[in-house]
Amino acid sequence: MKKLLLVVTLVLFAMGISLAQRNASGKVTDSKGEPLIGASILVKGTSTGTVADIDGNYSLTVPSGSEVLVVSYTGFTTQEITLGASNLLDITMAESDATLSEVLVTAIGIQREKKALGYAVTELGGDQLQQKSEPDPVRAIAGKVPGVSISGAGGGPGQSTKINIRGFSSLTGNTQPLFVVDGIPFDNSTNTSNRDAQSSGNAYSSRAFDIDPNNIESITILKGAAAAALYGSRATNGVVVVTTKTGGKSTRKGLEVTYNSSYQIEEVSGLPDYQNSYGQGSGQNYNGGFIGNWGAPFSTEVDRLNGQYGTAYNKVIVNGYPEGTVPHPLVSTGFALAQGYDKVFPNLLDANGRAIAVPYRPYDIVGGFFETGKMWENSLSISAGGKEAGLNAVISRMTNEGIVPNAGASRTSLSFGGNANLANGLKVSGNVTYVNTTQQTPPTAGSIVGGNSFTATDGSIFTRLFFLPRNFDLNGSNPEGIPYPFENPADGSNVFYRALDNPLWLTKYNRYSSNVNRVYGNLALSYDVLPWLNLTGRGGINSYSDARKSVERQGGVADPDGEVWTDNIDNTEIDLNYLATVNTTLGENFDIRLIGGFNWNQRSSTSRYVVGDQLISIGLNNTDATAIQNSNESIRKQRFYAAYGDLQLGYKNFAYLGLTARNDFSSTLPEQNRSYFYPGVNASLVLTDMLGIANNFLGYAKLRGAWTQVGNEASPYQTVTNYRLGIPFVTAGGATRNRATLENTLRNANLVNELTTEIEFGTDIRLFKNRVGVEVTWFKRNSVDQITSTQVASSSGFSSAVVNAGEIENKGWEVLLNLTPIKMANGFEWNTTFNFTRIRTLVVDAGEGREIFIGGLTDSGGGVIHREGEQYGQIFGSKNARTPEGDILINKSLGLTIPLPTLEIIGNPNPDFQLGIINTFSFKGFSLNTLIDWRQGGDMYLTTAGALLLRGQLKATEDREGVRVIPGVYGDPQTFEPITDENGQYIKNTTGITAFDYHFSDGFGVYGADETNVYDITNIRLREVTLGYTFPKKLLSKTPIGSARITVSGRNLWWRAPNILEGVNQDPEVLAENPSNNVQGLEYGGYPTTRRYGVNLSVTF
Amino acid sequence: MDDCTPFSFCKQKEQVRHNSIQKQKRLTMKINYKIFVAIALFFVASSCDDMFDLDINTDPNNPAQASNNLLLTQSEYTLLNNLAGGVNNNQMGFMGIIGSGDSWNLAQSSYNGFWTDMYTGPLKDLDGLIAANTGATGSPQYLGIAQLLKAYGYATLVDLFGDVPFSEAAKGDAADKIINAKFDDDAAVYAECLKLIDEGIKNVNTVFRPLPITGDIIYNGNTERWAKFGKSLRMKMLLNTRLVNTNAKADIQALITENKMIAADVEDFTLQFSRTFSSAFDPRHPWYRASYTGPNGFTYVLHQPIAEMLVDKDPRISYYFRRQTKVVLNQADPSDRNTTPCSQVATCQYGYFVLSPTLPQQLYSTATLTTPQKDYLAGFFGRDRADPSGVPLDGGFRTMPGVYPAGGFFDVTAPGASTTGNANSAPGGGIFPAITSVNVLYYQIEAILALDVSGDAKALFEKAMRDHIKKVVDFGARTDANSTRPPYTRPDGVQVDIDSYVNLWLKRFDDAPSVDAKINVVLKQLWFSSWGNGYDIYNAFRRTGFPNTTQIPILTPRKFPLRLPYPQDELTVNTNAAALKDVIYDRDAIFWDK
Repeated sequence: MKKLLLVVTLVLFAMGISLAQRNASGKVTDSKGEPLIGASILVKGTSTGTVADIDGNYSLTVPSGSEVLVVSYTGFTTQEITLGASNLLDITMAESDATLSEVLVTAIGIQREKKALGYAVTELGGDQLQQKSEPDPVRAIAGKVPGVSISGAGGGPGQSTKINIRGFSSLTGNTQPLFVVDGIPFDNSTNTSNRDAQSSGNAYSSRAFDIDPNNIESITILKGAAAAALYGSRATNGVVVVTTKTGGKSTRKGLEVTYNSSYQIEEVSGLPDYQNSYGQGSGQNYNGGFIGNWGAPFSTEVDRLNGQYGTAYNKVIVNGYPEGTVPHPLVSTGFALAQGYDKVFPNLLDANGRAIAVPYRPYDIVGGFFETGKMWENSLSISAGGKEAGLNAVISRMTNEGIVPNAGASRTSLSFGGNANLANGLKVSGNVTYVNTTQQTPPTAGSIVGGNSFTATDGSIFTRLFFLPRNFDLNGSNPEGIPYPFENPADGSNVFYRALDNPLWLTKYNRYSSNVNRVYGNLALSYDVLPWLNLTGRGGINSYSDARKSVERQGGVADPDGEVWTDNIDNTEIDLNYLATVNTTLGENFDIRLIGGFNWNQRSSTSRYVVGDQLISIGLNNTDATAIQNSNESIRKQRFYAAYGDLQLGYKNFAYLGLTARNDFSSTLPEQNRSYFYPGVNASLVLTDMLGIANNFLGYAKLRGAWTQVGNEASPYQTVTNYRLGIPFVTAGGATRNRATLENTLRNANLVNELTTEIEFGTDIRLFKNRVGVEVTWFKRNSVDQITSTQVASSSGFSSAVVNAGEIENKGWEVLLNLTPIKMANGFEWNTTFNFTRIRTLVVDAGEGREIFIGGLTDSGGGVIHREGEQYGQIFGSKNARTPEGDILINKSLGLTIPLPTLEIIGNPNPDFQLGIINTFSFKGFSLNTLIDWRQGGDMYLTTAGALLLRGQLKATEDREGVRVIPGVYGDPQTFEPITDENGQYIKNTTGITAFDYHFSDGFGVYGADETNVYDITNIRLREVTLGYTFPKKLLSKTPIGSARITVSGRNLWWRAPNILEGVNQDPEVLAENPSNNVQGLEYGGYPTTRRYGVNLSVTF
Repeated sequence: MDDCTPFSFCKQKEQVRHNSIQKQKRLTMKINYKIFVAIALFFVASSCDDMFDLDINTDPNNPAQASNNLLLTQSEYTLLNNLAGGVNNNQMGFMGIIGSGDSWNLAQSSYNGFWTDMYTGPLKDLDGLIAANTGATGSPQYLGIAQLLKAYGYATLVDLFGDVPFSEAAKGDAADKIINAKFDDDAAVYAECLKLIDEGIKNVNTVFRPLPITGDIIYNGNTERWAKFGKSLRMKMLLNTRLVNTNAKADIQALITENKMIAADVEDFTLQFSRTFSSAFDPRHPWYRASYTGPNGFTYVLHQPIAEMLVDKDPRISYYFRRQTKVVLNQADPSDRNTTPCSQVATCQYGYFVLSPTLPQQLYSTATLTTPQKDYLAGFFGRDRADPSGVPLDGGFRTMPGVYPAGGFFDVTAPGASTTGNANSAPGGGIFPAITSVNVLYYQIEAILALDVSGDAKALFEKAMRDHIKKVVDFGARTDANSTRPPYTRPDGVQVDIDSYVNLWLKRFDDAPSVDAKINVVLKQLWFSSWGNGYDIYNAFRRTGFPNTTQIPILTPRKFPLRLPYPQDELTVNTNAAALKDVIYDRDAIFWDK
C-alpha cells in the first residue's frame, strides 16, 4: 500500500518550479525506523514538494523565504517541521489514530483515499485468502465482507461457487458480479454443456477458480453502484477487483523469494444418522428388490421388538435360509434373474444352484464409499526490483483429490509481470498469466431420489448412494468376504440389485473431465504530459479454452448403449481503457481531479460439441468410436464502447464530492436504443477533521452518501425471433427429413437498457484510539426495465418472451465492527471483527404475468418463482389441503393427507441476516484466527431429507411398530373441503396408518406435499480456523531464510443446522443449479460438502 | 476484419504511425512529444476499421427463415408425436386398458407439458406454414395440408379440454402480437375447424402452382389422401357432435354417400415412427422408447383386456403383447410375494393369472395347468384397474407392448430382448394409428345405429373387425419377420383364427337386444381395437356411455374425467384464463358431451 501511495503522490507532486535556494534532504521513517515510502514533503504555502523514495529518502529544493515543511503520510499524524541550519533532516512520524486514510483501488484502477469515498468498499489482503485450506479464491471470501453472500455448489473438487453482492439485481438474468483482474474483465462464467449426465449443472467449475489465491495481492469488493459505475453495464451486480502479485506494482528492492506449501485432507462434512433395526422391503417384510428400508427387522433386533411390542417377527427372514441371512440379492431377486446374474456369478450359488446366504445386517454403505480427499498446494513467488523497474513471477500448482473416488481438480499457474519508469517519462507496466485448470469427476450431479428420478441424472452416484438398503453391502465389507460385484466380469457391464447404475460402477467407468487453458495479460502505458495531466492507456486480453469430455460406458442402465461427448468452449475478451487525468488545485482549499475516459470491450465465445451415441469400441472413448454423432456449434459475440467522466472535488481534505457519468453504446441492443447514459454523485465528509474534534474517545467520524445509476445491456441475439434447426427425422424407410421450428422464446426488437438506481448512506467511526471501528452502510437499489425472459401463456405460441419488465428492490444494512478488546504490553492482542449483512430483495414488479417461474424442480413439478410483492425467488410447490383454521385434511379411506392440485409458495429461501465473526489472537510469533459464520433464517426444499424419510433410512423413523394417526380432520379429496358431521363440526381423523404409509405416499416423505420437505436452514459454522507460528528472525539469522511461518488450518470444521429434520445431517450450503441460474432454496442431493484441514508452510528467502 | 485486436492485427499500422510521429517530433521539437505518443496509443486500436461497428447482433447460429418442407416435417412429427404420447396413454387408462391415469386422479399440472408442446410446437409452426403459403406466391398444397393438420390439432384439443384458445392463439409474434389469447367457445372452435377442413380440402385439390411436396412424412405428398383424411376428420367431428348438432345426421349421411373417406390401409392417417435415434433425438414410438430401451419404463397393461382376449381367442393377442417371463413367483418367498400382482390389495378381480383360482378354469376348463399353459400365463403380468399398490421391482416381469403398434416383438419370438441393457434390438418403427379406415368404419356403424343413417351396421362391423385384424397382422408381418399370421396356435396350445373370433362377436352383436346394446357390443370391440389409440374410445364413451362392461377401478379418488384439467401454467399466466379456473374435470363436460 505504501508503494501505491508513492505512485499517486509522485503524480501529484512531480513538477515543481525551481527557484533553488537550498536543498533539504533526509529520510522519513516510522517510529520503528521503517522507511515510509511515498511520504509527502511539501513546502508550506507552496505547491513545491516531493515524496520519499523506496528507502524513505527524500530530497527537496526549498525556495528562499520558505522554511517550514509539511510532512504527511497516510495513517500518520501530519507534521510541520521548521528547517534549521542543517539541510539534512531525518523525520520520524507518529502513527495517527485515524488510520482510515488508506488508499484503495477503486473502479478502473483509480486509487483513492478511503476517506474521500462516498461509498462502501471492502478490501481483503492476500493473506486473508491464502493458506486457509481453500483452493477456490471466491469461497475464501465467504464471511469476510459485509454485503457479500457466497455459496459453494457442493464439495466436489473445482465445483462452482455463487457470489452475490448486495442481493440480486436481476430476475432471470445474471446476478454474478463482474470480476476484474489487473484491470481487465475476467470471465467467471459457469459454462454448462448441453448434454450430459451432469446436466443439472452444479458440477461444473466457475471460471474464477482459475485464479490462484497464492498470486492474489488483494481483492477489493466494489459493492454498490456508486463504487462500480465506471465499469459500466456489468457493474450492476458489483465488482470483484483482483490485484495479483504480478499485476500489482509493488516490488521490493532487491530479490525476495517466497515459497508456500500446503497439504490438506478432506472428509465428508456430514452423514445421516441411519437406523439399524430394519432392512430392505416394505410392510415389515423383507424384499430383496426394494429400495426402501421398511422391511423385516434384522434378526438381532427380533427379540427386542417381539418383547417390546408383542410382535411375532421371525429370525428366519426367508424360508430355507439360516437365521439372520437372506439369499444373495444379486442372484435371487426377479430382477437379478432376469438379468441372468445367476449365470454370471456361479460363485454366488450353492451346490444346489441356490443363492448363497448373506448376512442380513446393516452396513456402513455411505461412509464406506467415500475416501479421504487430499489437497496439495505449492507456490513460488519471486520479486525483484530496482529504482526504476521491478518484476514479479509466481509459479504454483494445486492438486485436489475429492472424497468421491476418481474426482479431482488441479490448477497450474505461471504468472509474470513487471513495471518500469522509462527514461523518456513513459511508465509501462503489464503482466501475463497462463493457467491450466483441470477437473474430472464421475457423475456426481445433484439428482432426485424419489422412485421417479425427476432430473435427467439417473446415472449419478448420488441418485441412490444415500438411500441404499441398509443391508445391501455395496462395498463388500462383510466379514464373511462375500462379494457384492458391481460389474459383469465378462463384459464390464453394470451389476446392481435393481435397474439402476451401481455407484461403484459409475465411479469406475463414467467420467466427466474438463481441461482449461487460460491466458490473460495486460499492458498499461502512462505519461505525465503536463504536471497536472496524465494520459494512460491500458489494454488486455483474457482468453480461455475449455476442452470437455464425458464418457458413459455402455452396459449401464441410464445409457445402455454408451455415449461420449466432447464440448470445446472458447472465450475471449478484449478490453481497452484510455484515461486522461487532470489533477489540479483551485486556490488553497480545493483539490480537483478530473478523469475523462474511453472504454472499448469485445466478448466472443464459441462452443462446439459433438455427441456420439452407442459406443462401438469399449474403452476407446472417442466420439469417432460411436455409431451416431450429432454436433452443434454456437457462436456469440458482443461489443460495446463507452465514454465516461469522473470528477472529484476535495475541500480542505475533509469534504469531498464526486461526480461520475458514463455513456455506453452496446451491440446487443436495437440500434435506436443502443446508446444509454447514466450519472452518479457521491460525497464524503470527515467530521472529525472538519470540526477539529478528534480526541481519545472519538478519533474519526465520517459521513458518506451516494446516488448512482448503472445501465445494463442485453445478452446477444435477443432482438430477433429465429428458427431452430432440428436433428433430422429419418423415416422407417430410411429417408432423411430435415426439420425446423420457430423457437419458443419470443425475442424483442424494442429492448432498452436495464437501469439500476442506488442510493447509499454510511458512516465510518473510530473510537478509543482505534480500539473500536464501525462502518455502517445502508443502501437501497432499484433495478428497473429488467431484460428478462418472462413466462408467457403457451397459447401465444411461445413459452417465454424477452421483455423489459419488472423491478427489483434491494435494501440492506452492512455493518462492519472491528474491536480490539485486548492489547497488552507484552504483545498479546485480540482482534475481533463482525461482518453483518441484512438484505431484503423484493420483487416490486414481476412484469405482465405478476410472477415469473424461474425453474428448479420439486416432486410436484414446482420450483422457484418470483412473485410480485414477495421476496426474491420463493419456493413454489404443493401444499396439503387444510381447514381455514389450519388443520390438515385427511382422506378418510386412506388416512393420508390430501395434497392440493395447485402450487403455492411454500418457503422463503432468503436469509434474515448473515453474520461473520472473525477473531484473531496474536502473541509473539503465534496467531490464532477463527471465522464463525452464522446464517439466520431462509428455507430450503430438501429432497434428501424427504427421500431419507421415504426410504425409511433415518434413526428418527426407527420406531415403526403400531399405527400412526396424522393429526387432522377428515376432508373431501375431491373438493378439498373439510367434511363435517351432522352438527357442522369437523371430524377428527382416527384412521390409523403404518409408518410405511405415513412416509411413503401422500404424507411425510418426498412423495408427500412439497411443503413437508421444506426446512429452515438457519446454520452456524466454524468456517475457518488457522493457527500460525512465525519463527523469530533471530532463529533464522544464520540461515538464508528471511522469514518462516507455519500454520495449521481447517475449513468448515463444524456446522449445525438445528431446524433441519434431526439426523439428516445435511449441509444446506449447497446449490441445486449452477450459479448462473437464479434458482435458490432447492437441494437435489448432490455432492455433499467437505471439511478440510492441514498444514501450511511459508518461507521467504 | 471482425476480430481486430490492438495487439495483433494492427501492429503494422502502429509502426506507420510511429514513423510519422518521429517526423513530426523533429519539426516541432518544442511541442511535448509525449502528447503524440499518448494519442497514438488511442489510434493503435481505433484504426481498425470496424472497431466501432455495433451491427453484430445477428444470430449466427439460427436462421431467420425456414422453408416449407422443414416446417411440414416438424409439424407432422411433433403433432402426432405429442398426441401419441402420455395424453394418449391417459385416455387408454381412463378407459381401463393400460395403467395410466386409470384411477382418474389427475392433477392441475398433469398437462402443462402437453399443452405447451402443442401450442409452441405444431400449432405455431402450422400457422407459420399457412401464413407463408397464403397469397399469390404461396403453395396451395402446402397451405391445404397445414389447414387440415391445424383443424385436426384444434379439434383434438377441444375434445380433450373444451374451450381453448384458437382465434387468438399462436399470435405472439404477429404484427399485432397477442400474448394473452382468449379462450374460444369449444363449439365455435369446432365450427372453425370444420371450415378449415373445407378450405384445406379445396386447397390440396387445387391444380394451380403445384410444387413437389417434400417433407410430408404422413402421405408423402399425396394430396388425394390428404383430402380423404379431411373428409374422415369431418366425419369424426360430426359424429362427436351428434347429440348437440341437429345437422349432424344429414351431414354424416352426405359424407357416407359421397364415399371419399379413408378406406384403405395406405390411406390411413398414421405416423410411422423412426428406427433411427440418438440420445439427443429419439423419434421412435413412445411405447417402444419406454419399454424396449429402459428399465421399468412402460406402465402396466391392465388385466381385463388381456384376460378377455385370452378367453375370446383374439388373434391380435400375440401382436399386442410381448411376454417377458415364464417364472411363476414363489409365494413363500417374501420378495416374490411382494412382487406378485395384487398381492398388496384384496379386491382384485383378475389378480395373478397364473395362480388365479378362476382364469385357468375359464380358459382350459381345468384348474391344473400344464407346463406350456403355466409358462404362457406367467408372462401375462399386468395389473387390475387402478390397483393402488406400490410399484415393486417387476420390470423384468411386466407384459410389454408387442409388435403392433409399437414396433416391438411378436410375443416371445426374440427372447433375450429384455428391458435393460441389451435393448434396442427390436425392429422399431412403430405407428400411431391416429385415424384409420377402421376408425371410419366405426364412425359409420355408430351413425347407422344411433342416427339411423343408411347402411348395414352388421356388415360394416364384420368388415371393421376383419380389417383391423388384418391391419395388425400385416403390420406385424412387415415389422417382425417372426410374426405368425392367424390361424396360429398360441404357446398354451390354443388355436386362434379370425373367422371364429369374428363370428363370436357377430353373434354378440346379433344377440344384443337393443340398439344401445348393439352399440355397447360395437364399442367394446372398438375398445379392443384401441390398442395404441385411446382417442376414439374415450370420445365414444363420453358420447354414449359405452362400453359399460369395463372393470370398476379399485380405487377412485376422483370421478371419471369428462375432460382434462386445464394446465396450471396456462391458468396462472394467461390473463384471459381466469374464468376457467373453476372448471372441474370430473364434473364439467365439454359441449358435445350431453
